[in-house]
Amino acid sequence: MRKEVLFRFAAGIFTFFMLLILNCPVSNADVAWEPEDDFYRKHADECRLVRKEDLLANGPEGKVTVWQSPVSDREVGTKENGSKVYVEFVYKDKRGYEWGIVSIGGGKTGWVPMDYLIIEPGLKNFYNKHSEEFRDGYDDFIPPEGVETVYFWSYPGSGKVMNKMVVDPEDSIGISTSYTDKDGRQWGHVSYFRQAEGWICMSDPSNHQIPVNEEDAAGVVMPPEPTEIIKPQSDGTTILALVAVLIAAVVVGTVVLVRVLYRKKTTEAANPDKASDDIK
Amino acid sequence: MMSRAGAVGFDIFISLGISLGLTLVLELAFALIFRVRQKKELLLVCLVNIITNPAVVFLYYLAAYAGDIAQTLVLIILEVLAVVVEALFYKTYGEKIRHPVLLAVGANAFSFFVGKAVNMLVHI
Repeated sequence: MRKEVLFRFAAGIFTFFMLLILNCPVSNADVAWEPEDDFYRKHADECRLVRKEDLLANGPEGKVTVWQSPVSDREVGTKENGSKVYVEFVYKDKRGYEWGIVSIGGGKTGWVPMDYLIIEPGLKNFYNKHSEEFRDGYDDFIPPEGVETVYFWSYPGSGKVMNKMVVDPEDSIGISTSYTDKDGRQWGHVSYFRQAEGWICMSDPSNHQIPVNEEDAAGVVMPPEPTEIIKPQSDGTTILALVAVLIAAVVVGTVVLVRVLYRKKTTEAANPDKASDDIK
Repeated sequence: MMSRAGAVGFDIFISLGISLGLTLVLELAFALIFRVRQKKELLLVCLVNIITNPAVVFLYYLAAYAGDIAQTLVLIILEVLAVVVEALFYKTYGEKIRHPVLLAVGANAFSFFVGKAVNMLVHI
């Protein structure tokens, strides 16, 4: 009898923990970073994940203004033209303009018009010149023995390291596209590896001093600054609230004025005896 | 009347101003026709419309901005409320106003229909 009770108790505890585990939300270590941004929180379902790393600021008058939100005219920062910008999410406003959320340092975020961000010209030039030399990637690139750090580049021969990842011996990196440069180095494009994206030099993954391809770099120029001015457009809530308060104030003020100006009739109506005494 | 805007700007103030101005002119005109001649009563007509008109116009604007509400029904309700409030004020404070309810109904109907006609002419 006692054994039966103990068995049932153990079975109950086991079932309880199994149910607990099954009902726990599965979390993936690789989750998209969600910004701590008021506008994003309210409009998360309208935002699109883009994860664009190869963007440069290119706004009118030499800079891109960073706004508090796509509907707020409060400036929170600026990005000088030519500076790198990373955009995780994009929001489309009612006019059809896309706004990207960017970091402005100190854990703070702001929004910029995507029309003021361009793909790095060198990257665009590289793809234009060499895309026909690309080959399909293969699933696992396993870093050679002894390699502890893998460098991610903007593009082969860019000279720009975007990221570096510490790798374990058993790590494998998925390669979507491969390319062999003029010096025989084999490169692979990584779409996603622990939130990093870019090109790795499979022939020499831990070398962070691979030289610039001068031939590709020659003639790369920044496109002209845009002329269209794009600013946030208020959704009107603040103005409507202001108007409501003003109207309420006008109504109350006018009612008081009427009561003061036309007091006599109401006073006489309330005190007819006094009124008749006055007449006498 | 105002139509739904993609975004609200300061032109709402202009709309409210024009609406109030036009209403004051029309309702004063009707009051004169209705034999309200004392300056004090005519001032009362103005003040009462300052109380009702901006509020009615703004609430109608909000309904249009929201978009999903039957705007004609909202307009009827708002106009009836305006008439009731104006009639109450005329009855309470208008010494020489003999028929406060009739004045309120007539003045509002007059300004409403003439306002509509003006609107139509402007948009031709």
